[in-house]
Amino acid sequence: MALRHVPRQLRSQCIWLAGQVARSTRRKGNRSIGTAATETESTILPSSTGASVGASPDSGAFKIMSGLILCRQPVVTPELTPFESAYYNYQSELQKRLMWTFPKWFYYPEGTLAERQFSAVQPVVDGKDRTEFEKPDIVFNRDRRSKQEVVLPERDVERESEESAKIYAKIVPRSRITEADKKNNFRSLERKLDRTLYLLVKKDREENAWKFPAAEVLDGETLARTAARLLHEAGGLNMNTWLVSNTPAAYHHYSYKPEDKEKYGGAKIFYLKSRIFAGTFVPQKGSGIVDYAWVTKDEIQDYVHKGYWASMANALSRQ
Amino acid sequence: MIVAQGFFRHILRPRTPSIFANSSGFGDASSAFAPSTTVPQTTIDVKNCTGTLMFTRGKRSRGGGETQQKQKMVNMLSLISPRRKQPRRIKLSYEDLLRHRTVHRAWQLVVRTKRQERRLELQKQYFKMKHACDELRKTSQILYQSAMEKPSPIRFPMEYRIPTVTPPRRIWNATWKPPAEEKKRKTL
Repeated sequence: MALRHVPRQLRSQCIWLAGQVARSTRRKGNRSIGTAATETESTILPSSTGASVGASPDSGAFKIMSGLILCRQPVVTPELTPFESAYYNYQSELQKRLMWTFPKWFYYPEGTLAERQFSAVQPVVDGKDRTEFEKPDIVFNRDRRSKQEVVLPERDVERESEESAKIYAKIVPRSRITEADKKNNFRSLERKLDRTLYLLVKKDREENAWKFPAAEVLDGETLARTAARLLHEAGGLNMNTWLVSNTPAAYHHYSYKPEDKEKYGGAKIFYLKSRIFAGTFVPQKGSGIVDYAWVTKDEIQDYVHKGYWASMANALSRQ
Repeated sequence: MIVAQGFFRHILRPRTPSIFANSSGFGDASSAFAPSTTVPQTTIDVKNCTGTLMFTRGKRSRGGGETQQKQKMVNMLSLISPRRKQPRRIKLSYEDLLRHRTVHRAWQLVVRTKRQERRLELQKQYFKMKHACDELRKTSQILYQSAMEKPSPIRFPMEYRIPTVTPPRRIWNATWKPPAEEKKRKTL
């Protein structure tokens, strides 16, 4: 079924309709449309897989699944290395050295009480630290050879009203290290604010239990639709998310063990990237999810097996 | 603001007695050469002025609204000009210059390394995506075509937030619930 003649905006709806048609015809017992479609598809496409949406199951076929890479973007800027902070400090000192003298006459006009208070608080500038032959170069109470230190007079807190006290209250920045960091709470979204956190989910299995959530693409569904369904089925409705794109960001495939090969021989998972802005992931009953964790890229290695990590690593971002 | 050519000349040039033909002279001739640590120099008496008016920054001039406005303008202009506010030019010794250059080159190196790392990461992500799309195309043409649909123009959600240096008061809204109007959501 070629969709070249269908405008882009309507293609996903077309696919849904085709699925509906296939389902209804199958119910009636008429398999002609379904099988014809799959036959044409399998001739066009390479013979590596026979399974597609609406196809009849085959032992060599792969189950097509849509996966979800759900991430929480960094809340704070990246940590500065010691060199970076030293460099920024150096640059700010240079800037202070080159800054123009504070125009006191403009902010504290001559003859006012404020000016008197301001002048009283300023450090004494006498140009003492100079060589014998240097004349003091002081203009507007500023030694021109060095940076200026402007000291603001202390506010008369008693005389101020509550409102102005609030306005002039010192801003205390909040800590970048949260409680979740201290307690190492891997289920919290407030941990590691400077890094991207990815959702890992644990299935009731002994081997390869931890992975990104994934679900089979059913008849008439697109990857994006499956991912949306998967998100609600796995984690509930109370999550404000945004699908970055319909295009898959990663691909992973594996074969089932011989004993598990009933309907399909293996699985092909196409992962879509999504971002969470608010809410909580709550594992739902019936989803098969035993545990979950919000981890950074380097922490994923501790949870997930090697082959999976090799597949997924390049799709994730380090920061 | 009506400003004559001569207006700027009076303010921005260094004050010496012989230049200004129209001015009525300085109130205090010695003050022009006085050391800068003293209180700002007095102006000439405005009412005695015959030609253009003389203004100094930071003074309160007597007279009508016009002269006051001009005074305010002088104050503002004095803020913009570097006159007597610029510190000395930095002259580094040879060793200091070497130190500065070393720091600068080290910084350039760090920035370059970061840029290259970021480029490499993006490249890896792109090829991962390309590989996934190629595999999808082999697997299912329909799914591939639906995956290639892109919204035009791309819309970002309102909740999109840029990282800040320190976190907000409420770091994460854990109790978010979907609004009641949205019954069925087509996509994520």
